[in-house]
Amino acid sequence: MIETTSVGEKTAAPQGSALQRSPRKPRLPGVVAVLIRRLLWAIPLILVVTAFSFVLVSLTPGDPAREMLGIDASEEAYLALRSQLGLDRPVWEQYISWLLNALQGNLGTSIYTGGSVSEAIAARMPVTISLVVASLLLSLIIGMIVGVYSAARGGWSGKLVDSLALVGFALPTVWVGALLIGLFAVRFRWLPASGYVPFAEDPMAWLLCLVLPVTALATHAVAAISKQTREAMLDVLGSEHIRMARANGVGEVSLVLRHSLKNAGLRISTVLGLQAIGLLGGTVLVESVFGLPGLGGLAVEASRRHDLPVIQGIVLVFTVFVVLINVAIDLAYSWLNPRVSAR
Amino acid sequence: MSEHALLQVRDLTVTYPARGRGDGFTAVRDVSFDVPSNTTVGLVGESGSGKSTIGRAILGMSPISVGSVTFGGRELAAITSRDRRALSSELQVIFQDPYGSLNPTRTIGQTIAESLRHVADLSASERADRIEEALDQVGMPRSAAARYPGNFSGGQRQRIAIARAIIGRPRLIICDEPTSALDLSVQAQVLNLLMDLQEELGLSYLFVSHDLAVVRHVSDEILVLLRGSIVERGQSARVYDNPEHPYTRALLDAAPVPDPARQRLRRLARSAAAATT
Amino acid sequence: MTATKSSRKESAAAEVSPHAAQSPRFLRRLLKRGLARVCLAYILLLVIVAIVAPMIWPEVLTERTGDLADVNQLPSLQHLLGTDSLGRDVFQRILVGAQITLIGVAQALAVALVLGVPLGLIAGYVGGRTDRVISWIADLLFALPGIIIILVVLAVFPLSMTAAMVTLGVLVAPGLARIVRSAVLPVKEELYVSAARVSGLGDAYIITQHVLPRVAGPIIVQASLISAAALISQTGLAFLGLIVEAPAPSWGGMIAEGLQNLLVDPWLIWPPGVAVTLTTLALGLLGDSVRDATTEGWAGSSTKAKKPRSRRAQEGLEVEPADRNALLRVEDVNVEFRRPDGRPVRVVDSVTFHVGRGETVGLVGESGCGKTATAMSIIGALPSGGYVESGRIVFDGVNLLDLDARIMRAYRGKEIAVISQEPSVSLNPGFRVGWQLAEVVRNHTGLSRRAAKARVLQLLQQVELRDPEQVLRRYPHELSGGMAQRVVIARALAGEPRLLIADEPTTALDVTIQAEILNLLRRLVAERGMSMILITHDWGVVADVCDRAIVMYAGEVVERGVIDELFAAPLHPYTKGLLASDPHRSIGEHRLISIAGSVPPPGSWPSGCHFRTRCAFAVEACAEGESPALRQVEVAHDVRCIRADELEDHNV
Ligand SMILES: Nc1ncnc2c1ncn2[C@@H]1O[C@H](COP(=O)(O)OP(=O)(O)OP(=O)(O)O)[C@@H](O)[C@H]1O
Ligand code: SF4
Ligand SMILES: [Mg+2]
Repeated sequence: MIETTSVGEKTAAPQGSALQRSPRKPRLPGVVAVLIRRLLWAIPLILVVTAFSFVLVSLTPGDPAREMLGIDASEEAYLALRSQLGLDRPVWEQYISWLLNALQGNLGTSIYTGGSVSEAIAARMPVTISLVVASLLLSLIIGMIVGVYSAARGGWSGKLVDSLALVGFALPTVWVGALLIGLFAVRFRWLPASGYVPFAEDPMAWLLCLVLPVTALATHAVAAISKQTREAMLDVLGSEHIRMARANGVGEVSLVLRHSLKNAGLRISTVLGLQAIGLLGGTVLVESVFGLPGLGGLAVEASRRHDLPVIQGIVLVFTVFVVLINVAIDLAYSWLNPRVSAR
Repeated sequence: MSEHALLQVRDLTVTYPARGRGDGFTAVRDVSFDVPSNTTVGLVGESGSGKSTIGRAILGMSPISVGSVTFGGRELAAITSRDRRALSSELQVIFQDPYGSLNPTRTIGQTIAESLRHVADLSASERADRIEEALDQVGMPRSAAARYPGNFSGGQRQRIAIARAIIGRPRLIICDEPTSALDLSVQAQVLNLLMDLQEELGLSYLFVSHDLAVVRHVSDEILVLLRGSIVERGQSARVYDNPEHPYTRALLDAAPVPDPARQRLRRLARSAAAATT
Repeated sequence: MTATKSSRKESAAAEVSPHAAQSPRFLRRLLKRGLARVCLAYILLLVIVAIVAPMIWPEVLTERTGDLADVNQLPSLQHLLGTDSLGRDVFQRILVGAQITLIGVAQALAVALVLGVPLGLIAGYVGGRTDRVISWIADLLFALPGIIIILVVLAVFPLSMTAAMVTLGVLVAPGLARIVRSAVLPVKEELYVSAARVSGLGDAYIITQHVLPRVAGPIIVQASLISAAALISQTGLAFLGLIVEAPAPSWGGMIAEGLQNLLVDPWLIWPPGVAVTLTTLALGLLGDSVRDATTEGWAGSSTKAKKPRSRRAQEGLEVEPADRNALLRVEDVNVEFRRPDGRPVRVVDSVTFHVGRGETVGLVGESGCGKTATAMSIIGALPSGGYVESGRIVFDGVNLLDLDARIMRAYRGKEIAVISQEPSVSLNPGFRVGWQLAEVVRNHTGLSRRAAKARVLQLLQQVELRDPEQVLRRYPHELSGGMAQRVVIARALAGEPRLLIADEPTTALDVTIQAEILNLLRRLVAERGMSMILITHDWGVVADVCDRAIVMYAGEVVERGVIDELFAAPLHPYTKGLLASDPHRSIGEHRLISIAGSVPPPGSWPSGCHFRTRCAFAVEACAEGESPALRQVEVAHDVRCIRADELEDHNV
């Protein structure tokens, strides 16, 4: 994402501004419109997702109040807790009050630990974000370089990328994780097999404990991004306008790094969006494999323990992440494709 | 304009709805004309002049916003889809692009037979006979029925498209630029075929094209369209040889003639005219 | 117009490889691929194993421990894949575990297909509001954080694989629906669908008979990819122990067990990991093969330009007496394309002609005769797969085919420039016009940005664009066809070339615009003393602009001469026929003269004279030996026909 824009930006902006006094101005309303449209779309998305999981959860057999109190609590204590939790009210009322609380940052209390859900999530967020951002950057950089190079050079490098992409696609994340642990943690003892050290505590240890999880998580994304970049670049490089630009004397470097990359950027950013969402989901597995205290691990625990308020909170957070990713992709689109912002 | 022409178009206006806000785009405005039986009416104009839209409106593929279209005495502007289906064998179409107009995954026989699905109940053998007859009429071998479009050239595909159009024994065929994607020598074959079939079957054509010489060649009457309106109409020889409207004249002058000496003179005349105005 | 021309090209290219096009049914084509056969066989085998293995070893499903004396064994004859930490046979567990794995995949796939395909078909075919509603819902579902939703579901239905996989199916269905929808959209616009509607066929018929078969390819591709994704997800969930209860074997669960025992027995993670990877690979490769089989024909491989080897000039090929110092001499050039199967097809056959300084030469002929291929070989810009097999292309005394790529680049745009038929696709849609022109100007001249801008404005004025300042700021899609062509011409002029190659510069334009562009080209050529090669199939354009014309048929030059003579007294039967079939020349006649048949595609040219199969004057001698030689009949008027002398006064 960040990389795509900066590569094109560097090359396009100076020339553009030499030619036009205010190159960005006419398109600004377009970008704002895109933003507004996407944010408006996010509201129903968040409502639908949270309502769906809320309803689903409320259908669950079992009763949180009973579970919290244990079997031998008194009937009075049970009823009191029920009304304190709002469980005696209709589902939609419960949902609305949950939503109102959520808007103020209060996601309720965990049935299992009794602690605040918001705090639990906040505590675990940095792990997941570190994982996702690092994997995304890694896969974007490697994927784009490999994809562009193999498309421009052709020959064996293309075949190699195709085959590696296929293997990368087929390897299950959990197995890659297990293999990495077996090799680098158990065999060579170079890197920690599990656990997390916050950045603030020890940046070096933080980095080391992320190496293996990020590698496992990014395998799939690196494969997908390099393959899609390669295919998109090949398509553009074979197109009529590139052939004509070449025939009229535009240099190869510019053809590949300016002309084609910007055209291919649309497809690359689509993959990037999908991969970013995929990485978010992948944290669930990677955090379990490497024993990292992140949101994904929390979600798995909560799912096992039927800790519904926690799950509900995580659903909300992940949905917001997805919305943000989509906004970023939309912005990339409107920059890459003049036709989108023209509309 | 006669009362009993096969096709009567009166005050036809076609407005495409706008996307989002706005007024929409009026592609055809107040167009009236007749196509009598066994005649060819040519519609000429440049891209965007609305010539194809008129054909599509008659076929029910574009909305008729205002006006009426009567075919064989039946009003088409508000026809139900069932009635239109019943009409389908009498009113047919040939498109410009011979490659897009045949489904590559279906045999020629299957494609041609589609036009018969709504024609009375035919037995399988009658159907096969009709397919062979149609292939004969367009000069294609009967064995073509079992083959796929991928095996045929553009001109042959256009013949197959014509077979599909005539198999239901139509009275009117809308020809939407039927030869503009074809090579010169093949265009001549297809134009000849269309004129032969007209003689043989008593068909009418509404012949849409951007090429005045082609239209002049096949049509009895020519209508010249400019931005959705008819600016000139008349017998085809008269329109071609003595155009009255400046736009028609401009169209004729712009098309270079395949004769170097004459073209040189025309060019000189044109630049002289441009210099004086 | 645009669509027509390009689809014509596509199928012209498809005709080069008749074998690929012969059977539109891709199952047969698919099975011709070895890889696809291997993948299908593997998947079939796995399905059989999944059914049979639990019948043979039913106890594996429930046994908590095996032979505890025999734990953590490495592979042996007795235990093909060794034993796990509880002494159970790993081989048996892998085979039996295939069942639960495949059931999960099948559940997700079935749900995705049942939901995704109909929704996609309806959204694409019906369009309008229905489409918007479906797309909106799809967008919404698509944006869900998938695995978290599955975790929610699993919290409600603990250990229910069915619930998890059905949810997965629902979550991927929108993606499938989108792909089906976008595959349907172009099919819906196909003329044969319109023709079917005009023939009164109902929507249900059209969807099942016309649309579904065309989108079957993408659906199968997606089905295999969805299966692969489902397998990966199933593995992950089983790894987490969320969908399969303890003793029953599942591949994901076995990876988890392996991870727990990693210190004791590093071998255990291998069998289940390999099983998952191989199966995913098979599904993914199958998807790729299906896609290749459906798009076969136009997937061009990368170009490997062959080093041109010189060939002795053909006997009888008297190079035109003309100018030894012509600007360009094309001598005995052969152009070939490599077919997808690797075999070369010749599309241009020993073409020879020259272009004098300041002269405009027309290249005329029907589609697929090799005009564009000839022209693009001059500048080394053949489409991928194309190369000059032999010959010489001498520009101002230098054989361009001998130059290395870097020096050749210096010729492009500066000495020789190109404009093509489709102005809108020959500009990059992603950049403003001003930027694209300035880039070329700076490339050629090394001017500063400011100076380059001034030069761009000057160029735009020279091509008679009104309001050039404003045109600079536009994107190509904001220009009309005529304006775009002027911009393209301006780009071609930027390097002040000495030769301009114009490939059907006006075919896509209206006649009135065509007249303006032709006038512009004629003026520019005259003012700058440029030479021009003008490709066209319109005799009127030749008469209007050219000094000489070269008529091509089936890859060969069949006639060349000064236009007055060529039009007045054509010598070759093809030229005669082509001129006679022009309706502009036969005003008032009832029937047009036509040439029977059509141009044979490259690779199926007849022996002897290429025109023999369509020629009304063909005699037996025409079929013999090589194609007749090009020979001079009048001064500067050459023809390739053995009967040219007898037929001189013959009209078609
Ligand atoms: N990219 C390609 N791959 C394979 N074959 C090709 C390719 N491009 C062109 N050909 C083949 O080369 C032959 C000559 O093509 P060319 O484009 O030179 O013809 P043309 O005379 O310019 O035709 P047109 O009037 O349609 O432009 C055609 O038969 C075509 O099938
Ligand atoms: S050589 Fe024979 S076949 Fe060829 S053009 Fe001349 S007469 Fe016709
Ligand atoms: Mg061409």
